[in-house]
Amino acid sequence: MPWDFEFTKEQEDLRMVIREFAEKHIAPRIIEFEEKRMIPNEIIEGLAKLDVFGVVLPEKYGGLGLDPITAGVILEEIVRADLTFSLAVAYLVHTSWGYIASKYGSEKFNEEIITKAAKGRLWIGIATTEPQAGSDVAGIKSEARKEGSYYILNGEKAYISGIREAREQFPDGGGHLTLVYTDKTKKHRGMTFFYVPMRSPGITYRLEKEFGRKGWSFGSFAMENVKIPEEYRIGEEGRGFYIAMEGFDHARAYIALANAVGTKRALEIAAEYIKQRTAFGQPIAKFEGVQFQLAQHWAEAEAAYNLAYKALWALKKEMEGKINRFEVTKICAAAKYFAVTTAKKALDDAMRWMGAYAYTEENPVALALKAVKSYDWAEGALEIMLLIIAREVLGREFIR
Amino acid sequence: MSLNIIVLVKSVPDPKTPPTLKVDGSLDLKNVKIVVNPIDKYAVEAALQLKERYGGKIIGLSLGDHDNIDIFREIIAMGVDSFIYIKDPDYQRFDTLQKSYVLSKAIKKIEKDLGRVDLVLCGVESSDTNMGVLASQIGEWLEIPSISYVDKILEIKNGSIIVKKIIEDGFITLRSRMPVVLSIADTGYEPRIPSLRDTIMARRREIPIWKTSDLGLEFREIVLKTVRFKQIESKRLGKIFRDEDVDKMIDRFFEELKRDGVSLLR
Amino acid sequence: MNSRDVYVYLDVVEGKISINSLSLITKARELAKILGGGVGAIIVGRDVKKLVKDVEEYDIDVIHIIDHPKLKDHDVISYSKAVSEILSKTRPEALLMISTALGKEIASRIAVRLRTAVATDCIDLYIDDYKDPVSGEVSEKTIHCIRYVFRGELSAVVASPRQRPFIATVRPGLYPAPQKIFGRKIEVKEWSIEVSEDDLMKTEVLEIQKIERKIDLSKAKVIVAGGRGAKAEGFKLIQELASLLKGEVGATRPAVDAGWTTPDRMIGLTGQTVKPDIYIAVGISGAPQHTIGMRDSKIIIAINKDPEAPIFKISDYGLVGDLFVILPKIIERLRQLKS
Repeated sequence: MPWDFEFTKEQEDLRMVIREFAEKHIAPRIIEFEEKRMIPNEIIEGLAKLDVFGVVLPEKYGGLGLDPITAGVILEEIVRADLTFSLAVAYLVHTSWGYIASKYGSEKFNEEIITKAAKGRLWIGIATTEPQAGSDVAGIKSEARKEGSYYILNGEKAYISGIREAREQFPDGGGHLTLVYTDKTKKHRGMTFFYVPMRSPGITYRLEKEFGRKGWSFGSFAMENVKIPEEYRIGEEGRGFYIAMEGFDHARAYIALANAVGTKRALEIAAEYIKQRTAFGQPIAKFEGVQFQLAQHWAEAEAAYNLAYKALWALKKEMEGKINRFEVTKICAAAKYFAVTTAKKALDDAMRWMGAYAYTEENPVALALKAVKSYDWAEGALEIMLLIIAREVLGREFIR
Repeated sequence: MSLNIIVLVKSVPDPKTPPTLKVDGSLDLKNVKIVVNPIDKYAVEAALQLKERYGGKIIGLSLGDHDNIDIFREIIAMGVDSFIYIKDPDYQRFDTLQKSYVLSKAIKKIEKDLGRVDLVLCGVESSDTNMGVLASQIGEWLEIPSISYVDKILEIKNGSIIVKKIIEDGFITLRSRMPVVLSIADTGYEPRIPSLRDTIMARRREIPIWKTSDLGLEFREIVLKTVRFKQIESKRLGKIFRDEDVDKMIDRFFEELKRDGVSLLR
Repeated sequence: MNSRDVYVYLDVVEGKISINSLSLITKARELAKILGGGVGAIIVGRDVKKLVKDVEEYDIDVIHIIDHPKLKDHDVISYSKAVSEILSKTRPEALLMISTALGKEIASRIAVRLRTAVATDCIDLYIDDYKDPVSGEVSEKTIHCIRYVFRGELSAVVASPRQRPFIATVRPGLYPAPQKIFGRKIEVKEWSIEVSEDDLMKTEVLEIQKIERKIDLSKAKVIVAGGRGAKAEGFKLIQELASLLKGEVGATRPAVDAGWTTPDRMIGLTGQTVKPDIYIAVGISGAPQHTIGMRDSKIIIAINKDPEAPIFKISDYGLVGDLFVILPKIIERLRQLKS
């Protein structure tokens, strides 16, 4: 396959815009994200003004209509400035699921919701997990029944990102693409996707105290007879599961990139530290034991970075109709698996080189390690990634 | 009211990675990254705010010898209406007198097209030569007033402009007749960051390139010569202490001071 | 008139000749001696004739004066016309001026009027032969000036081998006050100019807001300075350390803008230039706008949380860590040492 590792001039221009904003407005405040457990409004508004929430959304509905690789370039700069990953979550979830919502949503939905999402007035999240069903999506219990031109939704969703933001922080609120059964007897083929605004009557919620990436809320919501207009149905009835899987491919590719870039940045920070910090009369960087670890992690992070961009490239090709779905799913799963496992090892070692200083809430490497731990399970557990890869490599008949 | 504003923008070696020197003491410019002089963005911001308040048109203008016109797209993305680049292969030899002369001729030419230029803005100095003479020299060539080190433009009324200028021991508020040349400091304005959409649109815009020969210049000798450059070497001891045990770190710091014969107390 | 004279522009500030500009006489004499010329002074303004007696004991050969009732402070155009008038008639080798905002504006305009070279913010001047790299032509005994470029990362030597006079503005505080020579006769030449009504209308001063400069940091032996990282609480510690060391408090512009200390303590491009024996930079990242004003300090000690802060590159001693932990411990240690 002919492969060009160069970004376009346009991508480089956009990178510089976000870098300037990130260095000036994001990087100095990430400790505040963690302490206040929120991202300040000015940063959300600033990013919205720069069109960051509309990168992949269609031009027709006020977005920029750019491809996933370009969206990745922007994500890189966000992660480099914010190793808590709070903004990365905000950006990559909205970017992935906003795209899916627009692709499968009705014309009316696009006109009403996507136009606001593109301007950053409204945030779009994802809600599939339930207290008893995580990676095992088929185990969900939430359901919807049709009543005239509405659906009535009941059930509970757990470990969901961005409920508080979608209820309170974005000027026009926001909502989550919520997976429910419309026909339980049909299993996967009986699931349907709905855009559920978090300000809808009948929604109650509770927030968790997350372990890391504390700037973006994390919690559960319950739906009690929540009335959703049929225009908010995303895709046909019974297609929800498949649309969700497609969205996960997007989210996983971005997560892979965020992990790879976060690792590279953390290694830079750690390298700078061990060049200056001495032990037994010489800089820590002079110890071969540390050098080899650093070199190994660097090599893996670089590989993870390139695999992540390959996943984003695959998504781009899929949008152009030039690659098949299964191939995309496999690469995205591999990219997430590799980037997350690489990140955890590298960040753990990097923290160790940095000694006691690393064990503070101000050390970006420690903040990054806490954040990447979430990707053991978020948007599909690592074991599920392996199952997907095995299924695609060996064939479905070998999978239980 | 509607203002015609020209903003002068210089391209400079990226101040984050200043050029190194060749053996003969001249600048090694081969691998430097060329960027927009950072302080010029404050002048661009000042122009944009004036346009938002009074209406009008902003033209960006730059003089240089490179082909990297893409760096000016950021200025277009910020909101200037058009941008003109004057290219001269001899630019590296130019002294301030020549630069201000060429630019003032270009301003005259633009004035002919627009009918009138009310304001010429630039940054207080460039990050490469650090001269800070451009605004005054253009003012003198054009025989119009100039004010340097402007913190903020306060008001424009009846063909006059009121500005707050920074001086050594404070500020001074001046009223000047227009047209006037102002150099803008990095104090009173915060340059906007262009949106992604405007950045994409800026890439599609034409940037006309003028040649100095089109400006009807007279021959001028370059009078200020640069003899050589020197890297500022730090003869500093560079003893950096870092330890999570702060007491231990301070112990070592005081030991070193003692060893080097440095006494803080007197 | 000897064409190899070196002139000094004497600033009139609030009706008095500025001490900074007087110190340029020392340098002018040094250069003039080598060139075989004399030292001239230029005084321009309204009601300035009476100032001649304040400077006639200094090491000057001739004073050129333009005293015009219509000349007003900050009238850059009329002042540059006036000074140009004297220079075009006398054609000295060079004119030295002090680098102030106004001084640089006047210098820039003079250079255009006389089609000559200007160099601002010089940190020293010397005389050497200039050899043209292309023609090989040598101009003997040419004034060279050293100035920082690239925000102080490099220095450049510039010269104007052919065009006279060379206009140089010099950073204040570099040279000692000039010698007084008693009983010497200085030639005083008065010139007249037309001050155009139109020029007078071009700019007018509406208001001046002065910042009281109560202290002169350039004389302090020890300066403890705070930056953006110090915060208001940090400045309390800085003050404590400064008084313990019998020194002064300094600050970067962001710290002054934040109101943590008074503007008269600002050091750097827009503040004072200092060269104390010991400079302690607390929570200062080391942006060139600041370091230009302190980089010549004898010993620089930096305390900063960010190990990558550029201030460490120009420091003799650097302490990486939280200033709120480090400073109290240093203060305590010094107290013990003292008692």
